[in-house]
Amino acid sequence: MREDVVSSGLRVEGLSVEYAAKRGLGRTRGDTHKALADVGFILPTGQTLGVVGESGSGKTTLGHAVLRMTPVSRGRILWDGVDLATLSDRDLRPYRRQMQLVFQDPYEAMNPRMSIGRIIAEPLLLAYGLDRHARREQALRLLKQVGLDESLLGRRPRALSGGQRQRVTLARALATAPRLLVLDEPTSGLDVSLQARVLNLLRDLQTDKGLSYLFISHDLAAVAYIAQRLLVLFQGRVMEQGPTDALLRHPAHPYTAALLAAQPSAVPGRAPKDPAPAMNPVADPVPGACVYYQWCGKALPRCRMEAPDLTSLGADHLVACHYPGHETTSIH
Amino acid sequence: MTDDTTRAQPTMHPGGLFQRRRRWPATFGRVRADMGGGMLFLALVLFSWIGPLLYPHDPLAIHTHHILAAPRSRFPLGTDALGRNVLARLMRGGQATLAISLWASAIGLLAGLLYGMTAGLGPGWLDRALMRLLDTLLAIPSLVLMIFFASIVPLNETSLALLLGLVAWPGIARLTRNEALAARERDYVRAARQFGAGRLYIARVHILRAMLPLVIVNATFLMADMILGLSGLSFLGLGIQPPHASWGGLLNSGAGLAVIGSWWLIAFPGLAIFLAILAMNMLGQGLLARLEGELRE
Repeated sequence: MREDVVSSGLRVEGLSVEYAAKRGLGRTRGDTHKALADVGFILPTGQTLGVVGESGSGKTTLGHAVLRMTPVSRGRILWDGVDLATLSDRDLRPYRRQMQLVFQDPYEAMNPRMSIGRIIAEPLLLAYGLDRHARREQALRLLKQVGLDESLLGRRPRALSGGQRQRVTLARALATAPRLLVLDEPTSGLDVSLQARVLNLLRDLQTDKGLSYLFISHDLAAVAYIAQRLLVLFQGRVMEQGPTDALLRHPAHPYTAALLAAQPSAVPGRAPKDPAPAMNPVADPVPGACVYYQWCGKALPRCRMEAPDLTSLGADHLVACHYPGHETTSIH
Repeated sequence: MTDDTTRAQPTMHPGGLFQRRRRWPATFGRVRADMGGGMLFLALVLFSWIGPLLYPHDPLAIHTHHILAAPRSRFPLGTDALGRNVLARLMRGGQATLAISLWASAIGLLAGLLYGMTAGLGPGWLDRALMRLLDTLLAIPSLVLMIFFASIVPLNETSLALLLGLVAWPGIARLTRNEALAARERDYVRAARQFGAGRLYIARVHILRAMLPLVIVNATFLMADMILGLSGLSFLGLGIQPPHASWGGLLNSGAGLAVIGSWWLIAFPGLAIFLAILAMNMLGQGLLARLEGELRE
């Protein structure tokens, strides 16, 4: 049913990214570290999927993997029905223009020795080979689009404020007229008033151009503001996904609940009473157990024996927990 | 403990006497170092190339009645064992020394950049192979390597520049490779790749740009090494061949005679070599300080 609805857009199935475990001096381990395991989601055109999770949960890896900026071990990345995961670098080129990344740290994402004009025009040169005059014209148009003054054109990144830098990287990402933007914590470096302005700008751009956003953030308030659907990651695995509203009001997974508790401002008064457990995401999960088992306040013996699959809670809401949400109370 | 740190704070105030005394000479010295080094080097270049125009004496002419003459008005820096004008020889020797060193640095810089970029931006196996080769080369002392090659090739200005370049490039190559490795993981390089940039574009526009200032600084230090290296070779008799002059060669021919009183035969060439190396090191240090200041911002 859903497959027909999203023939256009992004559909990710069973995406896994694995790194060979680091070999320290003397000790050799043949096994792999799973940065992402079996992640799947659907992002219809013109919509926003929020990816939340703590640091190290694999959010950024997911964003990079979707754009094939990091090697994909398994899984499919279907973009308008084409599997990007299997394309060669050469075949991937036309698709790269359609999907762009807005980096977490805008300053790092700009060559400090280039002027803003050159930075914004770089994709135009690389993707279309436009001449100098056309590039300048386009750069001005893009600057205007993100609400920046054209006087910035000759400046260096160092001379810009954090908000301006974020807008410049956004303008550059828009240069190739993409249809999907992967936004990696686009508001994390900004103060609250600037965050709101950038979020509004992103919303306006989305309605103007019909962009799809993969919005990566640890800030639930920002995500709730912009995303129709949420994906909760923990240690590279999907814990829960579903419509933003349902997820925030009735978090089915204890980890989602813990994230909400850690950030009571997202939905005031709705936060569960359990404090967010202290987590060490670097630790490898116990084999066979639920990855969240060690941290879960509601863990039962079954959680240790058997990793839960993603199961439907109805209405597009998936959760990887044996005792999701409200049901837990009836068991206790 | 806590009391100590709070009491210490007033002296750290930017307007404080302590801070001021500390900061002033550093900034002053940094600005003067590269300017001073550059001026000094320019003075040596002028001495070597413009000097002969103002003081037109043949460096090869032999004045049989003025053998080992001490510095006087006719021969301001004296004459050598064959009665040749030391000042004129110092000027001509400067031309040879500085030109060969400059060419050697350029060769080393270019070869090192190419080698380092290939290793740093190429596939992993190529990087490993090239770096092992470099390690092997660096394991041989450069003087031994130079002497070996100097003994099998005819010595002229071109071969000397190539010979010195041969020992100059490994350092630059390693620096370039490390910088390239660091730069290719920068977000702006990844962004460019996402826009469809090829390896060559990234190497040229982003990575070369990022490392060029550091490489230039190192090239000035390299120039100092080359001057010293060429002088060393010449002193060993493997440099510019007599009767032609070079600073190291002048030292070589004057060393024995200086012991018996002809101090001018080694004092002036030695001073010239010292000043040239000082100039390049000052220039390099000053530029490095500026670069670091720029990076810190």
